[in-house]
This record gives sequence, C-alpha cells and structure tokens, in this order.
Amino acid sequence: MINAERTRLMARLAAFEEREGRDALAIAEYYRRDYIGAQVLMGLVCGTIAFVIALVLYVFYYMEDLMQAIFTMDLMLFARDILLVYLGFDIVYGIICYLYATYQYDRKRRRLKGYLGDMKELYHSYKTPGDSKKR
Amino acid sequence: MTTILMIKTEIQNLYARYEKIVRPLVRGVFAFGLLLMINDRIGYMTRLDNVFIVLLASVLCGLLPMGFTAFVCAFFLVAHVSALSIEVAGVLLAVLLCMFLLYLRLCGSKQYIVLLLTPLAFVLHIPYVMPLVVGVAGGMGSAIAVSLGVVTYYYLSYIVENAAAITAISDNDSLEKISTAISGLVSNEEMWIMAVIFLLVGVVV
Repeated sequence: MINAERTRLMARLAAFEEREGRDALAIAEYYRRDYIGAQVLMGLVCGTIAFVIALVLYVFYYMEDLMQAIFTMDLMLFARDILLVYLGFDIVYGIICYLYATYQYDRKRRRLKGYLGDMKELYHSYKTPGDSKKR
Repeated sequence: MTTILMIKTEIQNLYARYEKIVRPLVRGVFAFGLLLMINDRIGYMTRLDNVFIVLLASVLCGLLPMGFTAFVCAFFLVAHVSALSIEVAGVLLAVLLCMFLLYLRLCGSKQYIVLLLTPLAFVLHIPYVMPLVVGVAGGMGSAIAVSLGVVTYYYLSYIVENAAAITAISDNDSLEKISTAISGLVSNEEMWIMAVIFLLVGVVV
C-alpha cells in the first residue's frame, strides 16, 4: 500500500532537485568563506578584463588628443590616474560581488535547509514503529 | 469567473504534463523570432540571412539554456556588423563582452530573457511595457537587464542609422571608424537617459 505522506515528501524532494536544487546542492559543497572568496576573486578578474577593454576603447576614442599631448604630458601622473581609477572601480565591484555572493549563498542554504528537513522526515518515516521493512 | 479559473487550471495541467516539450519549443520559437528580427534589421551578412541557418540555430537554442540564445544573438549581431565594418564589430564585441563580464555571468535565465525581450519590445513599439513588467514581476537584477537591453537597442540603432557614413570612411582610416563607433556610446545622451529611466522605473515600480 502506498504511503501518501512519503509520496508527497518524495515528490517535493524531486521537484526541488529538478529546479532550484541544482544550484543549491552545488553550493552545499562549499564552505561559506570559500564560496564567497571564489566569487569575489572571479569578479575581480572579470572586472579587470572589463576595465582593460574600457581603457582600450578610451584610448582609441581620444587617440588624436593623446598623440598630440604625449610629449608634453606627465606620463607617470597619467598612469597613476589610470591606476587610481582602476583600484576604485575594482574595490566597488569587489564589494558588489561580495554582497551578491553572500546573498546568493545565504538564500540557497536556506532553501537547502528545507530540503534537508524533508529528507530527514522521509528517513524517519521509514523508521516508524509497525513498519515491516527492516533497515 | 469559475470558467476562467477552470481554464487556468487546465492550462497549468497541460503545461505540467507536456513541460519537457513545451519549454524547448517556446525557447526555440522565441530564438527564431529574435534571429529573424536581427536578420531583418541588421542583415548585412547575406550568408547568415538564410532561414535554414536561423532554423538550425533556433533548434539548438531551444535545446540549450537561455544563455546560449543570448550568445547566438550576440554572435549574429557581431557577424552582421562585421560585414559592415570590422572596427565597428570590434567595438560592439567589446561592449557585449563588458556586459557579460560585469553583469550577465552572475545572473540566471530570467535576466537573459529580459535582456533579449527589451530590444524586441522596442522593435514592436511597446518599450515601456518592459520596465513596468519587470518592476512588478522581477527584481533589481531584472531592472539592470532592462537597462542593458536599452543600451543594446540604441547602440544597434546608431550603427544602422550611421551605416552609410561608416561605409563612406576609407578602409585605411580605421581610427576614424572606431572613433565613430565609440561616439555612438559616449555621445548618445538619449540612450543613457532612457537606460537610467528604465532602471529607475524597474526598481521603483
């Protein structure tokens, strides 16, 4: 005879695994610090590449002015300005990545809690007295 | 009222029963429409302006996640623009890469759908629907995707409107072409104002 409660639990677990579970179960393999650290690091690398692309576009756009000014401008000062802009951008983007990764991790762990709770309930349902199946 | 609820339940049951067929089919049809629209509006590369290629790409887009559809659309855009000018295609590629590196790599299918729907809404002359729908049904992430969609649409419109001017520039004057392409981003005030307004509406609503 089919146990309706167990079937309901198993259907809920399967639905979770099919949809959100994929990401949530993948996150379960990481400690909070490792996951957030990896996301921030990836963010900084991608941010650096995006900054370099933007810098190249900037140089191409102002190429004529730069070529005229290159012999008179203070190149060290120019390089310092670019570095400061890069650092400012990276810090801001790193903070955004940190906040986003923290939010994602906490949200998925919360959903995973529900999933693990259901798993436990299913496990215990096999151990209720009167169950003929021995485990 | 009861009839409507019954119809709604029937549709939900039908969808649940045939979900594995309906979802890829809807994604494929959506991709097909998008690629046809791209070929129609920016069809500079005649080799890609072929219904069989579009059909094949749509089938692949239907079977794969939404991110792949965005990738295929980006590929078609850059390929068409490259037939107009390699330099402008390079700038377009740089813009799309920045969008991906800074934002799209973090988001899920929902944001890709919003990003792809926004230019489509502009083409269908119903652009203001997007920030309202996103504001009601989506979140901050979707509002940013709408803004990126606005930037993509306006920048592509700029390229199409200035296609004759870009073609008139000599092939030896690559810097002039790149400068013209970048000024479509930098000097396009209407684009930035619309992007900010759409973002604010998406967040506030």
